[in-house]
Amino acid sequence: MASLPDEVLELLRDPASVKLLATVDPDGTPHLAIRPSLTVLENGELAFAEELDSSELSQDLVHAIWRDRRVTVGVSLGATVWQIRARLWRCVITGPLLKRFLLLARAERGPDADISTVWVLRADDVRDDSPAVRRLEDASRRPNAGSHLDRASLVRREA
Amino acid sequence: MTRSHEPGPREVAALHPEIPLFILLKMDLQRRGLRLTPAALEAVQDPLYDYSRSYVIYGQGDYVHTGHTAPKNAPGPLLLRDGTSVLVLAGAEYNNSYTVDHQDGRFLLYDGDEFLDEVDFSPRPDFYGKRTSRGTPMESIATARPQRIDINPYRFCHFWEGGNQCRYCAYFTDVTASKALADGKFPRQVDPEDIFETVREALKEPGRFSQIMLTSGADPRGEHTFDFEVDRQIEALQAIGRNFQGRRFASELIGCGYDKRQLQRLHDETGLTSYCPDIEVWDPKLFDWICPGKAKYNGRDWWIRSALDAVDIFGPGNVYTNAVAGVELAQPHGFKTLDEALASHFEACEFFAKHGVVYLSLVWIPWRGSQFHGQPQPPLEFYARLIKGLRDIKRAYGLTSVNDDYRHCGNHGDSDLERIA
Repeated sequence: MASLPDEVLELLRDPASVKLLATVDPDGTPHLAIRPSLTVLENGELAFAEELDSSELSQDLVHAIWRDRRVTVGVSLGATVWQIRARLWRCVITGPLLKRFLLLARAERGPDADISTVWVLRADDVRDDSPAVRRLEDASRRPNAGSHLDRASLVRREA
Repeated sequence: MTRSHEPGPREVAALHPEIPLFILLKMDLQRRGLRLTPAALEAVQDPLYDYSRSYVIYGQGDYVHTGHTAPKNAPGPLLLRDGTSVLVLAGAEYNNSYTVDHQDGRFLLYDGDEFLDEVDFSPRPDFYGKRTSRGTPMESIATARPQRIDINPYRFCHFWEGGNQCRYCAYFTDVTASKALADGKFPRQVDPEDIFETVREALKEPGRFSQIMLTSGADPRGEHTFDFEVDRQIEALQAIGRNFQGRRFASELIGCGYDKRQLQRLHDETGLTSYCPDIEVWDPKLFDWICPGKAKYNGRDWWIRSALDAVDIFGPGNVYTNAVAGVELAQPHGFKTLDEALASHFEACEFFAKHGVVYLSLVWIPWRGSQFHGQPQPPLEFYARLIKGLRDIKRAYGLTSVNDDYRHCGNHGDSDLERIA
């Protein structure tokens, strides 16, 4: 399991971050889901709650764990974006972890809130996908590729 | 340690790539059993895992064989990483068992010396260890699957009188041990107030249960056959129902074949949502041989009619019937080939599906306390072909096993396959 940088851990624990999961279904069709409950556990694994077994995401996740396929997690706040490729490690339907996420859901959404499952993921690799970081990396690898020549930093303007 | 020479889950997965390895492993665990190393046995004594007194009612004999002189408490159902639950009695070795060890705080599954995967056990529910107001240990009233409460309101099967029990059955053969573990409070009939209080306590644990299942030993007595049994089920269901605000609660009754009047009473007088009269064996001659009690009260056609009638009352998809898959190959009267056995299952599934009844298979284990003890089980590949065929038939009829799916029952490879629609 890849360890995550502190900045990513903070982002994952920040309720203001946008947390996304990208999966594919058995036919290969991609699917994107937002899951605010996604967080990082004490042992470095990622986990989030899923409300329904019948959701498109749940079905994709079952497919992924059965076929050992990876999913991608995106976490973003402002101009900062990180991407984590991960493997489904465990589908939790009972026990302390399920109870913990259920109680959180009920604290946020009231006593009738419910979840069916907590999915646990293990990161394979992580990368900073923020536009500024990507631009710098691209510029260092391919200094003259792809930039428009009329950018303000390149063109000499007449006085 | 030795390994089975039969094709195991990986070999069968290569032949049937559409079936996930997790489900093949689950069925093979059911077939071959599970033993705990001394380290694993110590680890499941932890309060998180200790299932203590449960399981004994299922009559599979002593609970944990590990070479220890003193008995230890058993864990709950095994959980695979994909959430699949495996109802295997850890410690009751019966067929070249798998092994669970405990290392570095993790439970690890082995086949012989080969490491397979990390596993877990269903945690002990909070109501275990508590007592009802009558002093009855609550775990003698109800047991827990990962998401289901199981209750036996009547702990005796009258089919055993005169030797009419199903030939694969070992239910209630450990009554002496069960009584001891329930501090002597193990009457045949459970007090409905004990049931009410146990369920009330169980529901205090957040997110622990999403269904309640009732089953009992058969009792054909009464003015009409099974009237006593139905009265008792109604009493128990009404006691459970007092815990809920609404009329209905997610529940299943695995019972005998009832007539229409009895079924209507169960529907109208309780909050029951699904009913399951088990056909066990589809072939008429084998049904009579393997299930003499059911043949006597009131025969195969009656049990089939009961399932079909129940669809009119509980609705399509809310009536189930189980087959103990593999017993139809028991000798000397059973099928001689796997193909014949599979054809019989598929014929049964198609028949029931046409009428809105969900036909489910479970893996036959020749328990020590049963007449079929010592009979050989079919190979794992038989079960692979079986669950795929059954899933395909039910899918064609738009039937799914909501009440008997991977999270509620955990006994059926075919309903496990339904996790992907």
